[in-house]
Amino acid sequence: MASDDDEPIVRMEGVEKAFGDVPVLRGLDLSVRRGETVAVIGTSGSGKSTVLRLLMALDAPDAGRILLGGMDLWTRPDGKPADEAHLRKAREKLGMVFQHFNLFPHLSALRNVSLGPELVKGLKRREAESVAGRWLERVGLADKAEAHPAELSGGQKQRVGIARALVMEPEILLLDEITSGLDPELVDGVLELVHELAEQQSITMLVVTHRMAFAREAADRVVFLDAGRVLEQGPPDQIFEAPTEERTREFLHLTR
Amino acid sequence: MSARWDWGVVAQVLPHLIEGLVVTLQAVAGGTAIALVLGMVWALLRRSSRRWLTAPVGLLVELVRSTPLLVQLYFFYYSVLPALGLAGQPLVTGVVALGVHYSTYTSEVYRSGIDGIARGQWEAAWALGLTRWQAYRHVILPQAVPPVIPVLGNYVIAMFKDSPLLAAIAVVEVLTRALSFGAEHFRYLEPLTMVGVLYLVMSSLSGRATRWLELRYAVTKE
Repeated sequence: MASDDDEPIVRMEGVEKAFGDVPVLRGLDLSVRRGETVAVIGTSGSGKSTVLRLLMALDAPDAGRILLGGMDLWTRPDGKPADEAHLRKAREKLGMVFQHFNLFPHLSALRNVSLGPELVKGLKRREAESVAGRWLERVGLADKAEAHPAELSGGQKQRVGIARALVMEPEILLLDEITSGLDPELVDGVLELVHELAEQQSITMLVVTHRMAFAREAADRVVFLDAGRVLEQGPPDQIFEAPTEERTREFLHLTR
Repeated sequence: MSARWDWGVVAQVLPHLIEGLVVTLQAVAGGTAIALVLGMVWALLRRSSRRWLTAPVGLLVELVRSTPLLVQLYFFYYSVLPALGLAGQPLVTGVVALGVHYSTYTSEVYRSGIDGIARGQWEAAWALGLTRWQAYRHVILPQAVPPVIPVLGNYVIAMFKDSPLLAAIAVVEVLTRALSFGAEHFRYLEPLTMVGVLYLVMSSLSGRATRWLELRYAVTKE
């Protein structure tokens, strides 16, 4: 008999999305189990980032359904279309780290991290800042708490971005090409951090990445997107060693 | 009427002008407060997702911005304020009219500031679960307002220079003082020159204050 644990924490069914006249997702189906780390790979324009943006409700799908832990993202329980409060409730389950960091430039690193706990979780400012301080410590930035984003390196900014997302204790963490804005020498540090955090937390992760080595090492499952659909998916060893689809082989060959 | 400059007249008229200047400053300070707050209200309402709110507010703003301040002064003086039980209060009328008139300009200034904030800032705020209002208050406005402080400052100076219009509804401001002194003493050169000097001093002071505020609240981009 199916228990609640068998219900995927993320379920996308027949999702379609176009930007203007350009179709990006064309009937995408994707399920993610609780605690799983899924790497999403594919050529640029294959819709990788769009998957994450749709999950965070930063964009609305044109067709299809998105369920987060059984909760329909765009339909309220009473059947009416989602309003702002419904979306906020769904977003509570999610955290997101952005390719271009999107830190708040007018706030210190500490305030970047403490803003969510204070405003959304209702902690007192002092408590929020102490929780935020502990997270900055975990990402190795205890000494940069008072620095503003402009004073931080790319790698440090991304660590703040990771702390800002994780301090909210999301069930699902979305990582959108978080290393593509970084200098090469900083990439490994950030990826190691993510890998480490993934192993410590029982968090579910969706990682959009260009780094095949990282996908291979950190992911439980690799999903290859092509032309707005999941073309192939499976354990990293299978995808990287023995892909069944020709397109996957071509793509992996190109990225080698 | 002699055209020769007389410092004695300056000394004589200056206290009157200062009294008038105090009234002018009160009007502009009050008008500025209203314009800064009300302009923000318009800007946020016009960006609301509710069409039944944005359309009428947009119309109101257009209406106020497209009609002369002098007409609005008379309108407020003879129609609006009496209806609110504030008849015969020229200074209050002037403050409200200046504030409402300039709020339509400041609202556009705020709007351009808000439009200038990168989409990623909104997305980061949504991703944290902030409400729209929290996002405005803690993320968007602290970044959107500082860059437009100089433009807001220019409108304060413009309001200051429009303030002599308040004479039309019998506010005894600095120009009115100069004119009545002139009528009494048959001497306009020094009073009017000094009015000009006072306006110049006040404008450059508020220009400096604007610059100071701009630097004080500047945000370094990421």
